[in-house]
Amino acid sequence: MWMNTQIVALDTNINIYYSPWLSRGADNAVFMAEILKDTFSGNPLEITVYTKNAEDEGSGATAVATLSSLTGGFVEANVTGLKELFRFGMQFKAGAAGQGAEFRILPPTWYDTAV
Amino acid sequence: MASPTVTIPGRRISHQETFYTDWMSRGGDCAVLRAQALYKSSTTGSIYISLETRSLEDTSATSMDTFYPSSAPKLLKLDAVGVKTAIYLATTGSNSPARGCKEQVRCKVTFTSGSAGDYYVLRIFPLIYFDNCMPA
Repeated sequence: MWMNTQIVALDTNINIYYSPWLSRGADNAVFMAEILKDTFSGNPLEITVYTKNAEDEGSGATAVATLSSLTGGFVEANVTGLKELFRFGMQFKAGAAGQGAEFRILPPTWYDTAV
Repeated sequence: MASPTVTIPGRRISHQETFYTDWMSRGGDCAVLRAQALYKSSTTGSIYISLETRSLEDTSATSMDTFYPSSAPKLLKLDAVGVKTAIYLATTGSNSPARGCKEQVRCKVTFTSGSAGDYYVLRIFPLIYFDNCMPA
């Protein structure tokens, strides 16, 4: 689990912050996060999953899914065909500096294709 | 590839069948239940998967209600091939049906509706446990 993390906007630009690259646990995964509070009045916090192979150079990578709302702050994405590494991108746009969000990412469900 | 990723690695469940998993120790007050229907051979039948919970000293099980889905039936309903999610979120007190996990949990799996000869193949993934970090 990625424990509670607070992001505070220092300006009103569109910002995106990345997690470190992590090794996949299987070919597919269901990722879930809980957004505990979001005061961004520009664009709300959006969490995207990126993937690349270990041999690939650079921080640029393929965005494979954006976590979408289930209910009550929980967002989820079912991602199939992950490459060797994955990471999260947190994007937001504040209406004024000082706005922010608090969230945590739950452990994913890893699974391989069975049929 | 990964360490075991499934609680039930793929099982056929037939019309009118109900079965339970073994009791498992909880890993937190709250849980995410996920299951996948791998194959469906039924026009109108559905699979209901719900959590039951109990304390170690209990001899009976307590049914649990999901936070998500929030409308009845408050459980994980599979009616098509694919992966589905249910969230069980504890509150500050106790509830009936329970909202949070007691010391042990198990899954109840039921084939609902449908007709004779219908079946699904499903797998249930390991529960994801977590605790509330704010009053709920």
